[in-house]
Amino acid sequence: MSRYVIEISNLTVSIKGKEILKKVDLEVPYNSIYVIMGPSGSGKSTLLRVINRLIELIPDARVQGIVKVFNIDVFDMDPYELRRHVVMVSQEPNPFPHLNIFDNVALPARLNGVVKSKNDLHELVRWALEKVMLWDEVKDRLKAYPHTLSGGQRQRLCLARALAIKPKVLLLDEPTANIDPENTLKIEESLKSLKDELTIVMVTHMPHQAARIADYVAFIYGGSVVEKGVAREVFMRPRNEVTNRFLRGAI
Amino acid sequence: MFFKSKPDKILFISLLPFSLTSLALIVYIALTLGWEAREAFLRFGVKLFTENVWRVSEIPEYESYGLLSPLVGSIYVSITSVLIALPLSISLAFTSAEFLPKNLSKIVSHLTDVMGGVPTVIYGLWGSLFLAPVLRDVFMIPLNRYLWFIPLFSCTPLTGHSILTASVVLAVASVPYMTSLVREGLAMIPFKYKEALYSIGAMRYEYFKVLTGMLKPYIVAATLLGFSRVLGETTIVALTIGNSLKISLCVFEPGSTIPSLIANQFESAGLYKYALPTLFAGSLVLLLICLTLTYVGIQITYKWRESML
Repeated sequence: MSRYVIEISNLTVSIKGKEILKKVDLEVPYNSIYVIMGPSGSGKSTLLRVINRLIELIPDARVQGIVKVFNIDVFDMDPYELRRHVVMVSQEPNPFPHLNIFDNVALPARLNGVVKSKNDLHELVRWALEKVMLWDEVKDRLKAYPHTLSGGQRQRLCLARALAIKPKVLLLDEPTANIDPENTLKIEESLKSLKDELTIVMVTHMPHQAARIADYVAFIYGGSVVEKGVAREVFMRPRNEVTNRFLRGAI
Repeated sequence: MFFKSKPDKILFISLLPFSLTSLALIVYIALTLGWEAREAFLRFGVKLFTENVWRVSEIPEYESYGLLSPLVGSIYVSITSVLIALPLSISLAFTSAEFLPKNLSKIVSHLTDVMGGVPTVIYGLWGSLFLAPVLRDVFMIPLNRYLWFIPLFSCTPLTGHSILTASVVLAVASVPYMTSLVREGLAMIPFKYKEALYSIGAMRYEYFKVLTGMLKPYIVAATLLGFSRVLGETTIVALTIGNSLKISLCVFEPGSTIPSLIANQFESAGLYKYALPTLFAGSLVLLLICLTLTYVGIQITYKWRESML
């Protein structure tokens, strides 16, 4: 068996004829936090959307190269099956406005048939909300609607919703870009505690955040991987001048 | 005033009369209807809407009118036709917006839009001459024979021109309108929710289920708007409903609606003192119901749109 949960080789993606990613190679080891960093517009989000095949929702997107998850080519997998194992949380908090807090977290589990009884469902929702440190804040108002939550709480709710599917891989697209430092720290804490159970691939444009939580990092610039490796080494001794400038905040 | 530049002010002032005219017109129409209907209201009072008679006479004292049957008929026909049109419209909107490949979806939505431009008299003629006998032979006669114990199907004779026929044709005619309403609603759901559904592994039917849940208030609004539209439709109903003043639960029975009554009676109503005011009273009620439904429908749509942000 491969050491890697995700293996990407020679991936090129173009949207409407414009190359967004160029010959990307990337290997994500099991049970790690892999952070893909780079300035806005460098193709990070597109890369995530290839892994779970959400790229197919974008018209005129062309994908070349091989993307393997659990050693299987994602384009040979059933996309719905794939997305239940490789779940994504978007940049903008998007809890379903017509469902209350409990139902938002319970929805994917209900769809998947992960749980059998009402009790199990309640346990699952509680587990997911505890994992994102939201349980204590909402346990008395599980029937309230998401618009009553703050932006940061809403994003943690989305994270809980993703966890309730019990995924093997969690893709995070700048999950803390729009929220306050306190909620950011809470999310980062949750992610660290989740490492034993799943593999996390996170995209960010903030090198500080990568430095705080990453086991491995890749730096993407202009659609190509400039540098990648064990986080500590990349941060201590970046081999590439562009990486160095990004880490110093000069890009 | 609140304009800094002169051209802005001039533009506003020159637009003012036109915009006010359109707004004033509807109030003016309502007032005229009320004025023209006053004699009927004074003579019959509430009975105008609680009794079911249409007795004309050269002698005004013998005249007697009550609009209960067309009123009930209007509501009955509208409800039935909306019930038929709604599932068709939701399915069509979803299929064309979410399931069909892009090119095909465009063709389907153009087709439905064009269908909306078909003159209603064509639907009416088709319903009266073609659909009514077909419905009678393949639908009404068998249902009446085997399910006669259900009041909905229990009446005879079966002529084909009936509440059901009118409802079906109205439904066909309003599918394009309601489909475009539902499609608009779907398009207004921000992409982030659609992406969220796919990124948690929702399949197409689950996607359909959740989006329908999200659309629920909007669908209620679309129903009200469709209802108010169908309520005012005249030609189709006049040609297919059979024009009788009976009140019956049976959908195979001929009936009438306020617009169909007006269309049928208008010409002769001028001959009698109270007939014309009665028709005006009916149209005033129709106007008020339609305005209310449309207002409520639009309000729900606005509220819903805010909740989606």
